[in-house]
Amino acid sequence: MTFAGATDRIAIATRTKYTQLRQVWWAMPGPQRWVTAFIFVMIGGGAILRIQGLAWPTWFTFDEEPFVRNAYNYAVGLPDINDHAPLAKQLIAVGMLLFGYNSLGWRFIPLLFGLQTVCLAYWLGRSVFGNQRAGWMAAAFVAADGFFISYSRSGLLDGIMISFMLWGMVAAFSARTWRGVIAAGVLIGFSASCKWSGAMTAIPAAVAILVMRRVSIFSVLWLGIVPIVHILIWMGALRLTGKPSDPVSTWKVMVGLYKHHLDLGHYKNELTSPWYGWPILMHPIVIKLSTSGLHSRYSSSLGNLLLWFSTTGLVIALPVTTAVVVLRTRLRRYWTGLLDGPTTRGALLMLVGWFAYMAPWLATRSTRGNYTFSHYYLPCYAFLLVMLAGMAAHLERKYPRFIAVYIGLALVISLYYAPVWGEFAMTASAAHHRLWFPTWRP
Amino acid sequence: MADKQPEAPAVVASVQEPPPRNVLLYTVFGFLCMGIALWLVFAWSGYKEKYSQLTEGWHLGGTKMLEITLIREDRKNLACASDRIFAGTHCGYYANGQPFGGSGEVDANTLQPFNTIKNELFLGAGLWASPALAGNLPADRFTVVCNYRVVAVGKSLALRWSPSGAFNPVDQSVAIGTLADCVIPQ
Repeated sequence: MTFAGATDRIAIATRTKYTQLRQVWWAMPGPQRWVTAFIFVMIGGGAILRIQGLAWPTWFTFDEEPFVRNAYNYAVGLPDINDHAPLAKQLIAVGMLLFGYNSLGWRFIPLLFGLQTVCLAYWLGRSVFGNQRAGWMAAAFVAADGFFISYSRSGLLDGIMISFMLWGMVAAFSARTWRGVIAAGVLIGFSASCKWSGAMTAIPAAVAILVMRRVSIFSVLWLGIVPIVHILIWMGALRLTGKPSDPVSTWKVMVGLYKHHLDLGHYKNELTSPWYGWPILMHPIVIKLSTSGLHSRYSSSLGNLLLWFSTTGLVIALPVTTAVVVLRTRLRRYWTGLLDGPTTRGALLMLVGWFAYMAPWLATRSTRGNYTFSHYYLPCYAFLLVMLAGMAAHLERKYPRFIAVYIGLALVISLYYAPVWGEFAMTASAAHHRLWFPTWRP
Repeated sequence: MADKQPEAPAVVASVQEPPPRNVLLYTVFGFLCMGIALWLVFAWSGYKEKYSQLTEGWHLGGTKMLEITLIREDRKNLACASDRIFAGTHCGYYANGQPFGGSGEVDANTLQPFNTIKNELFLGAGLWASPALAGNLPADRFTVVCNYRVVAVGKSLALRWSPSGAFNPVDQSVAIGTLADCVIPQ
């Protein structure tokens, strides 16, 4: 095929796609058209908020220093003395190899994974609920939420870990052969190699594989590859930095870090918050703050208030309602009138993900005490937003006006909070109009 | 009267579409495209000129533009203690904690410890003599940009960060100099 022929074919395909999209747009009822517009503003705005002014401030904020310094160590072959698994730091090092040892270099990879998280939310929503609309809503909710925006703008590990978590879940939901399950296991292994808590993804992934029945139930055993991937990555990291990298030495390093993490309850930090405070926004952290003159720039991890409290409400309401419906079969027809079986199943699967990521902090409370932070809730919240999107997409068919108002309101809240998520220069009083409580402020 | 079964709302059936076969390929391909696009955007936007000045040095005798983070109470809060005089500037207190000149008042030659917005510690004199800081100052934290001329480096110093606090010796070498031409960036 000649070059001219290829460009002609691309032009025809583009024109056909454009015509199809126009037809779909005009075939939609009014409220659905509004929702579609809101979704695209949320996704586009979320991408711009993540990218603009990324490299400011040019110095370390919040926990960037230990992660970035050790990422730099990987780039130059020095030992990593940080207390987290190596992969996310190695990836941050790739950003510094591309752009140099500067703030853009150490925030580039978290930004890339932050944007990928939005795409993966689309694929997960679509895969779990079998509905493209649910996918678009999930992407919009993640895109227009300050919790994810702030972690996309910082040289931290959590955003990268979440991205691999969602990737692993997408792989588990779309697996049709044992090879798909292995791919899920490898991606979950990557997540666990950013932060150990990433390994918890194996639980909802296994449940999804068993419930969806797209592959043999014995294929779930292939998720056993997760610890192997993790150990191999750690051995590679030790080798890269000239440390003993045989399996026994690697194991000793991991056990040492495990003991260190269990012992963190002795430490004091004013940014800590207990697990029960996360769903009610007890202490979201301002993870980037810089002042210049009379103005400051904030990147708060405060979520979108409407989405946040909707998900918190669902965490309580959904299991209770499901239990009542199971016990009182007379009520089942109301429930199935509101949410059908596949939507309920998808929502409950996402709740399994929420619980899997809460469990370690409940289990280690006796040793860690209150030495826990609100960002531990980030993976939980990702699952909840996908769940909310699936339910909203289903309810939109029956209550389109209600969903249009709901998503419109979520967009308005995002627009109001965008300055304290995306580091716009503002006075302290303007910031305090958004960060209402002292525990929300720096 | 027999119980009347309430009417249930109409069931809205959802159309379940299985995910496409090549989802993982799409996600990997999309990730790579996004990475390349971002790289090109940042490269085109001239990031090097904007962000690669992190290693700008401090030179004895040199003048450097600094942005200092302050609150208005810092005039009284911040003080240093040392018996030495550095090119005409001195701490507000002697090493034994007695006020310099008997009063401990901050004048144009009195050194005080400050942090830049990048959290770099230095000692500077003359900040409060600047016309920009003569009027009413903001109640919240603010920053000031000044020209800082490095006149000496000190180590046997002690610093205090609140009027009731104790002087603690510094554990690093600290630049000492004068601050001039200060403005509050608007």
